Order: sequence, then structure tokens, then C-alpha cells
Amino acid sequence: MSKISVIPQVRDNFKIDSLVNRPQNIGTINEEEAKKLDAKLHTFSYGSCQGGLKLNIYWAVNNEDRVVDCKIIPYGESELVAVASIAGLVTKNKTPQEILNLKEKGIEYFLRENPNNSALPDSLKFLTNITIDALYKCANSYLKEVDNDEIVDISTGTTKNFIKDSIKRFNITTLKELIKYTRAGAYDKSCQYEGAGEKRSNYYLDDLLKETLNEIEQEKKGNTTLSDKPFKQMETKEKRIAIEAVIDKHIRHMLIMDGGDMEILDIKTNGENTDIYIRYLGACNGCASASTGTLFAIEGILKQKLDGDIRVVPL
Amino acid sequence: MAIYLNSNIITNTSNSVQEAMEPFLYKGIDFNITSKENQKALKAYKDAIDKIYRSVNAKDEDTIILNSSANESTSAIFLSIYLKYILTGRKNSIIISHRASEDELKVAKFLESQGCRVHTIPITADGTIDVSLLKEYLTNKTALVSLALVDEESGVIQPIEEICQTCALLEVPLYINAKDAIGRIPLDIQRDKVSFLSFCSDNIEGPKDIAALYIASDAIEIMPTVFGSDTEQAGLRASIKDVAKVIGFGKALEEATDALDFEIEDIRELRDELEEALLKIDGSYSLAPWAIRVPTVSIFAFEGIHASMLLDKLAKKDISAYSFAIFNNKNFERVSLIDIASLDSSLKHSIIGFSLSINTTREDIEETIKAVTQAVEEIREYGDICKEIK
Repeated sequence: MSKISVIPQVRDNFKIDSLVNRPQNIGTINEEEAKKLDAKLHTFSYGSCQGGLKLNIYWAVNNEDRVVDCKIIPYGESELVAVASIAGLVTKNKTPQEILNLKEKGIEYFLRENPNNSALPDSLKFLTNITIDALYKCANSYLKEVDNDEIVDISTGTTKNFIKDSIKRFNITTLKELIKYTRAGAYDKSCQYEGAGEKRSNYYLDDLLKETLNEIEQEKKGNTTLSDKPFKQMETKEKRIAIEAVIDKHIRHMLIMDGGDMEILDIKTNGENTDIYIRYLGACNGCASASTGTLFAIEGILKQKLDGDIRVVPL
Repeated sequence: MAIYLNSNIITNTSNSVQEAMEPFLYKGIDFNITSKENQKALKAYKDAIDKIYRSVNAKDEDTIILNSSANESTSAIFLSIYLKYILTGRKNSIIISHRASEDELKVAKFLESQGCRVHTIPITADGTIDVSLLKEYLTNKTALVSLALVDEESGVIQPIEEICQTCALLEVPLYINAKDAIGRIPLDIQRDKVSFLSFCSDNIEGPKDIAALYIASDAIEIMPTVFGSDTEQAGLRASIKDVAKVIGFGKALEEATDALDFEIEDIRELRDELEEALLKIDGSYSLAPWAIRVPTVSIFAFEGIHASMLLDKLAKKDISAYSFAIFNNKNFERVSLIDIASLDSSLKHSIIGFSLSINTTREDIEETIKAVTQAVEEIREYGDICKEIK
């Protein structure tokens, strides 16, 4: 609980208001209109009226596999009209593969009135989340990819992969938050946890949440463990961890003693060489010996501990 | 001019109520100090309390305490029943209906988590509770039956006489939430013997944040919600009440009960006009039977129209309606009106209601009919959402 929980959660955004009043990319495309654009019609239905949110998506796709026109019929909270307008805008002139790389933040930033404030109130954040899922599903259906996603909540049609993605995307930790951001289990309580009602699907939200949180934790652990491989065969991620470890152990305390510090900006593999781009912080920044004595010392230690072909470049 | 057709949720304070409150607004009134001004206020205060008693035909032996909302009354009754009767093992269950409002459900859920049995009575096809089933649920271990006299969404009136008689058979305390009944139908506590009754000022054109809880003289003892001096509100809710608000509440109640004789028939006529016109729209359904509904409420579902979108379009034209079917309201636990009327479940999120008040005029209704018809057309222009496409 916080300040946000005592303020009414309603829309307060000029951009969304104007899009709701004058929607764009809302409607249908028929076969003839698609033919005029030299394109094929692809249609997709997401969600259901029973679940309170439905999107009928119409794409005109040309022979270069580009979506030349996109129209959407929204059914849901009135803010969904604005979200669907933007969704139509961002899908235009993209290939389905490119659409699969779109992010939820992309639509959300478009709707922001002020870059620092989120576009939708907390209770409506699921709209952008669900809309991006609809676009993914539509792209997948166009690419005819085998969809091995399984439905968790029948009433809203929420799928397993979507729930797992949402947990990662919004750092969800409780069942309540999960329901808020995905709406799974909001109307049909039976899928929330075992014993909540008649069993209708293979998964429970509670189990999925625990499973995903475990996965995230293990990923984090995996990230900080040193790899056993020789330095040259490591991937960039693993190299970074190895370098950080050496800096923490042998270099950083020297710099901190003089009131300074450093950070790694980037690591690039240049043929045989590994270039490490660093930035000096605190007193080191601007120090005369930073580009001579200190630099050679850092480079020397890294060469000695890790690999002879390391070069350190201060920026 | 803005049109308000959401008197189920909230109303504006009417001019006459504002006038009655005016002399006492912003005053620090202490009845213990017998200044001229305070005595004038005391007279008005006593008068207001009189009006509050008269509005439900309460006897002088009964207690009516003032609090902030009908929700507060609900919580107070449930919690004191739990502390006094269930925790001590004297009783073990409470009964609510399938259409219980969220405040009732939440507190019932809490009691359930503490080991109390909570029975929910099913609703029949016309929206009233099944009294024959209520008889079967009742035992001499039942601590409380809690019902809303008028459904807050559909306006359906419960058969209060039968319910009172049934509860009286086993001497089970009956708590009635009359929030949406006051000013819509006549209330007579001496005829329908209930133990507790709550009503509020929000939806009868009175001041906000004030409500009343009636406790019958022969009702079981309840706990105070705010502990304090016995001289204030019978020691059940010891806190200073805004004198102006109490006077406003009394005035609003007086007007609302007076209107029951005459004006309510005019409202019913206007409501029927609205209903007839809106049912002409393609794919529109009326969700509650005419005969057992309060004369102010009309509730519809429009095929393929999400209630939130329609509310938004109407709000652009300064018309306020209400809907309990949108995600923000989050009251999905109770049985939907669509299920009660056995319509297609795709209409679940299309429920929108209009509730009239004394100040609604014929022009308002004409404008509303025009606006709703136009808004429905506009939304349907997006395309046929009900069609499944592959």
C-alpha cells in the first residue's frame, strides 16, 4: 500500500482521451480492399466477449510479407480503443517477424502524455500487455507456427506463455498482481489455485507463478557463477562476469583507496583481442595517471589473471 | 446541462437541502455550551433526528445511530455478531444472498476464514431470493441473515414481508441494507420487523458521507464501532458528527419520503419511456422484470457493446449512467444478471443501468435516448465484434 492506493485509479491522459474520441486504425478490411492494396487478407480473433476483452485483427499483407494495412475492432474498456489505435500504427509496414520483436513498452510509451508518467492507471495496465500478446498471436498464426501454448483460463483465453512473460515483464510476485496484469482468473476463479473450483485446465495460476519465480531466481544465480571454460571460449556475458570478478578482487580496492572507482561499459571481441571499454569514476576521472600508470596496472592484472590478449580502453 | 442518471451510486445535493444546511455550515457547534446560536442548532438537530426516525417509521424506543456509510453499518453488524455470538460458540453460521454486494461479501469472507459458516441463498429467475430455500437454511444456530432490500444494480425488490416472517419463526436477527430502497419504495419498520436496517444519504440528494443504522429495541446487543462516551450516539459510535450534515440528511430524507406519494409516479413514467425507446435498439435486453423493480431503475444489455465504451461515449455528452460490469469495479464474485436472466454469457460485460432521480426531466430523457442510440451506432460502426474470424 502506498500513495497510489489512495488515489482513484482512473484515466487522466489527454493523448488517450483524444484517441478514444477520434480512433484510428479501428474497423475492418475486406478482401476487395486488400486486393486494391495488392495484398492478401489475414484475420485473427483474440480473446472473447465473455472474458470482457476481445480484439478482431485484420491485416493486409503484401507479397514481401509486409503488413501494409492493419485494422482492429476492439471490445473492452474504452481505453482499449486508444491502445488498439496505437497497435495498428506500430504494426504497419512491419513483417510478422518484426512484429514478434515488438515490446509492450513500445505501445505504452506512445500513449504517454509525459515521458516520466505511465500512460495508463495501475488498474488498466493489462490493456497494453494483452494487446501486444494479441499481436504476437496474430503474427504466429500468419507464420503458421505450431502454437504449443496451452490455455490456462478458459473464460478469458489466457495462455501459459503469456502469463510467464507477464510475470517476467512486470516483476510480478503475488497472485493478486498477476490477476491485475493478465486478468487470468478474474472472472473464473477455478484456475487460481488448486481447490478454488472445478478443474478446467491443466495449470493453476498459483503453480505457474511459483514455477516462473523459481526460474527467474535460477537465471539470476546462473548469471553470477563463473564459467569453467578458458577465457577465449567464453561468451560475452560470461567474460563480463569473469572480468568483474577479477576487478572486484584485485583492482577496485586500489582505486577506492584514492577516492576513485571504475565501471565496465562494454566488452568487444576483436579477432584475437578482447577490448574492454571502461569509464573512470570519482577521483580517477581526470587523474593524470589514469591513462598511464593506473591503466597499465589494470591491464597488467587482467592480462595476468585472464588472458594475454586483453586490451583496456578508457573512455 | 449535465444529466445524472446514476442516482444508484451518487447524487448531487439538492438546492433545498443546501439551504437547510447553510446556517450551520462551517460552524463549530458544541451543544454543551448554551449560547443562542448553539441552541438554535440544537433545535434543528433534534428536528433532523425526528425526520430520520419518521422516514422509516421507527419507534422512539428504537436506536438510530449516524455513521459515514451503509458499508460501515454492514461491517459493524457483521463484526459485532462475530465477536459476540460466533466467537463465543453460541451461534455458528450467517446467511447472505448470491447477489450480496462487495462490502458484504468481503466481510463474510473474513468471517469464513475465522471459522464461521457462510451460506449463500440462490436467486430465482426474476432476481429475488428463494424464500422457501431460506427456510431450509435457517437453524437455531444461525447468527444473522443479511440481505439488500433492493438490488443495487438491477433495482429488484426482495419480498421483505415473507423474509421477515421466516426469520421471526426462529428468532434469527435480520439485517437489511436499504441503501437503494430509501426514497424509492415506502419503508415501514413497524410492519416489517427487522433487527437492523441501514440507509444512507448519498443517493437521495443529501450530503455525502453520512448514513444511518437502525437498531430495533428488541434486537440483540451489538458492539460499538468507535468506543467512547455513552452520551454520544448511544455509545455505539462515539465521534463528533457534522451538525450541518445531519440536518441536511434529515431534510433529504423528508423530501425523499414525501416524494413517494406523487413524484415517484412521474419518475416511473419517464423511466418507462426511456425503457421503451432503448429496447427498440437492435440487440438490447432489459434485465430485470418490470413489476418487481423500483420505479427509478432501468437496466439493459446491448449486444457487442462493452459497458465501459458506452459510458465513455455518454460521458462525453455529460450524461452519467452506471455499470457494475467493468473491470475497475471488480465485483465479479456475485452472480451476474445475465446468468439470472439466462441470456448469452457474451453479454456479461455489456450491462449498463440508468437510475433516475426526482430532478430528472422529460428533456433529459429525450436527450439520453438520442445519445444512447447514437453511441451504440458509433460503437457498432467499428465492426461486428461478435463474429468469430479465423
